[in-house]
Amino acid sequence: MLNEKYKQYLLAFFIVFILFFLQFLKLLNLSLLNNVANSWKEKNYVLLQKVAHPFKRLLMMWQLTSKLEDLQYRYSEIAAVAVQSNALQKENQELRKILENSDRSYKEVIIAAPVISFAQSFVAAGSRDGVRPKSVVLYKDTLLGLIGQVEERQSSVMLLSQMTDSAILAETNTGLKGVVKGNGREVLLSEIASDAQLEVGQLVFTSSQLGLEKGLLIGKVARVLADNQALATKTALIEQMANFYEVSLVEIK
Amino acid sequence: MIISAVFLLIILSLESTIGLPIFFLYLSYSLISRRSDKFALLALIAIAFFLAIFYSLSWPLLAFLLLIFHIASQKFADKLFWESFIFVCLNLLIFKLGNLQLNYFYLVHLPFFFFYFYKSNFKKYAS
Repeated sequence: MLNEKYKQYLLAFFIVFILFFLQFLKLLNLSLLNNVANSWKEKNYVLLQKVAHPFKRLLMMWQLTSKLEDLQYRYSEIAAVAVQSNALQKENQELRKILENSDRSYKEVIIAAPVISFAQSFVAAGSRDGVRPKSVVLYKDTLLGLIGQVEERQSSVMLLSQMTDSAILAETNTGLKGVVKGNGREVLLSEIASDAQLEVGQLVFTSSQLGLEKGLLIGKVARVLADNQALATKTALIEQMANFYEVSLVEIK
Repeated sequence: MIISAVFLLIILSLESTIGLPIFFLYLSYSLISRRSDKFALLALIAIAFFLAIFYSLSWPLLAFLLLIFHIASQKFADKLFWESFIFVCLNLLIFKLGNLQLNYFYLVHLPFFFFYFYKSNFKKYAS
C-alpha cells in the first residue's frame, strides 16, 4: 500500500487534474480577478516609473555620449554632402544661365571650371576637349582673358590684367577707340586721345580685330588716369563685371 | 501567518508589475517548505492561484509546475546549486509562459534578489 506522503502527492495531483478538467469545461474563469489585478498593476507601474525616473535619466545620460558621437559623425557627413550639393547647385545655375542665354552663338563652345593653382589661372579643359590657343575665355559674354598654353587636360588662361605684352583693340559704347592691356594687377584702357570725352561708367567692348569677336564686354571705366597732362593720350582703369577667381564655370570659344 | 500572506501578496503585486515572480516564489516557498506536506501542497495550489491571477496564466498549469518544482526541490534538498537551478528554470518558464518582457526594473530587481539570497543563505553558513 502507498504511504501517507505519496497519498498526499496523489491527492494534490488529483486536485490539479480536477482544475484542468474545470478549465477544459470553461468553468474556471479568472478573467474578473485578472482584470482587477491588471488595473492594480497599472497603478503600480506608474508608481514604479516615478521611482525609476532618476535612474532612467542617469542611464540616458550614460547613453548620451555615444549618441553625441554618432550625431557628430552624421553631422560631418551631412555637412560634406551639403558642400557638394551647394557646389553642384551653383554649377547647375551657371549652366542654366549659359544654356538660357539666347544671344550666344552656336559655334563650338567649351564649358569648363576655372582652376587656380599657385596664383596661375587655368581652366579644366585641354586639347582633348578641343581647346585651342588664343581662344577667348568668357563669363556671360564678358571677356575674362585668352587661352595661353594648352595641355591635354588643362589650359592656362592669360587674364586681361596679365596681358602686359599684348593688347586688345577696344572701344567704348560712345565710340572711343583704344587698346586694352594689363599691368599685372589691373586692366587698363589706353591710347585714348587726350581730348576725348572718356567718362567713368562707360562700357568697354572689343572691336573688330583678327581672331577676336567684336562686341564682347570687357568692363566699365572705373577711373580715368590723368597723371601727366602733357601726354597726347590718356588711360583709364577698367573694372570688370566678372572675376575669374570667383566664377564657377567659364565658356571658351 | 496572515501578515506574511498579506506581505507576500504585496510583493507579488509589485513583482508582477516588474515581470518576474522571483521574490514571491522564493519567499512563499521558503515559508511553506518546512511545513507538513499536506499544508505545503495545499499552499502551493494557493500560490499557483495568485500567480495565475497576477500573470494571467492557467491556474492548473501553474499548480502542476509548482508541484513538480516541489518534488524536485525535495529530491535535491541540501544541494543548493540544483535547488537554485530548478528555481531559475521555474522562473524562466513563468517568464516565457507569461510572454513577459525584459525591462529596466530588472537592473534593480535582480541584484536586490541576489543580495537577499546571499544574506539569507551564504551569510549564515559563513558565520
